[in-house]
Amino acid sequence: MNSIINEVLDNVKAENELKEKTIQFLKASLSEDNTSNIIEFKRKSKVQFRKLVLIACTFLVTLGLSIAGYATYQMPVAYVSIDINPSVELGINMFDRIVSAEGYNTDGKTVLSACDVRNYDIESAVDRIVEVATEKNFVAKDGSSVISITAETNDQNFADRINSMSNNGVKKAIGRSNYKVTIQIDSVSIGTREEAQKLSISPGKLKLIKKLQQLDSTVTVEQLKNSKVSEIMSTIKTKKVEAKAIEKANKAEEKKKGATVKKNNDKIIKPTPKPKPAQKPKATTKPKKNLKVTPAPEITAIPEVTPEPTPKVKKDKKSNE
Amino acid sequence: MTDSTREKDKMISEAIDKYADTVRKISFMFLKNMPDVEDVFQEVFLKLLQSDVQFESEAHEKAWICKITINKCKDLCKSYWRKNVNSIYEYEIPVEDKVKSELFEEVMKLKPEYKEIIYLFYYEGYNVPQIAKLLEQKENTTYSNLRRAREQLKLKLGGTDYEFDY
Repeated sequence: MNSIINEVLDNVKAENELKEKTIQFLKASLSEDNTSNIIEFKRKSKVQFRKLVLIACTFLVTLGLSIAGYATYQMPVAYVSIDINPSVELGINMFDRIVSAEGYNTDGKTVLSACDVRNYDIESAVDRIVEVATEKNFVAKDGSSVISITAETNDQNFADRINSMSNNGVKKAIGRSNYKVTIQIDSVSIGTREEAQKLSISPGKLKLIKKLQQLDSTVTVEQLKNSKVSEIMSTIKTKKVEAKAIEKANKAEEKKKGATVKKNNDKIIKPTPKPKPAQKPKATTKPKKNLKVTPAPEITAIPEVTPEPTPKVKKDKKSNE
Repeated sequence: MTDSTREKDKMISEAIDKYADTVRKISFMFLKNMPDVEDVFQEVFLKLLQSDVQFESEAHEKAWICKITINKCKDLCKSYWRKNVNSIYEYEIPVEDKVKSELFEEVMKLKPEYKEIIYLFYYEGYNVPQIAKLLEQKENTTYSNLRRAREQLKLKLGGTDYEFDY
């Protein structure tokens, strides 16, 4: 095969015309005064410019996406307030991470100054806050403390998730310290949160105060602003007991009243039975001998209505005939 | 005419004289279209003359030319247009013997990756490691491509007359 390939290819030679054409092309391409080199350079610089533009665009897009991503990450979409007292509110982003933490009162600020919970997940953040609150003796050892967790969002599913994770966080922290607390879980809308912000209290506390106000209208937000959740809750309980007692008393009184009214009514209603029109003529025509009846004026008038003079008419008719 | 122009013309002529036949032989094996052959000629020689590669020897320079020409021919073969459109240019195998002509015809029908090895191995006389280095592929690939090329030729032509040792 070697010899055959050699024999064939040895006979293949570059044609003179092909050689000449190539030489002409090369001369034209490589000559000093030809613009091909310049064109090449221009093309190169154009390519370089395009590359630069592309790099700049990529950089800008990446920068824009990074800023947008960071802004999205930092944007709270829901909140959770923890009231012991200290009152603390945590902002939660769409990835269930804490992006802001605010103390609603001095105690809340004290707790937050001792721990930075930003970028924590909800459970860990609540755990840490309750832990610090316990360390700083905001939680009573005797089990009288109430920890109120309030999810603040318009999405009920998200609220349930927040509450579940927060509840776990509280349980973990309390479990480590061997304390006992009452956990109160609730959720409010963002509208309620805004209202609470205006009053500078946590939404959870505002909801409790509103509950109390339903039972006792004399109570104001200002009075209970700095009260502990446990205090507000015990007041609510007391008021509820009081309200029940009052209600019972009222009911009993109403029952009594109801009974006396019934008796009186019976007395008043019984003597005046409705007179049956059929009986009236009987009473007039055949009065019982043993009863002294003083006939009512209407009854006495009835005999006058009875048609006595009919025979007279007949007589008249007969006479006419 | 300036000295530099004269020098350039001399370089062009020397390059053409030296490698025109090699480039033509390779393009003959791969291309069936004269305008493509012209393209290959222009690009290969322009690249040679503009290149700043420092050749260690003439063998190195020739190997470089072979590699550039093969790559250029393969690029042209890969293009959709050439794959799907029949060329009106018809090549003629420059040998009178019918058997030899038929054998070469079969070589021409091989895949480009087999043809390049057949050319380099049988005509240029490179061994497998040299071919692998030149084509920037693993030696095993070169060995298997050479084996497959031979098997295909054997299958088409029959017999063992064309077998060679590595």
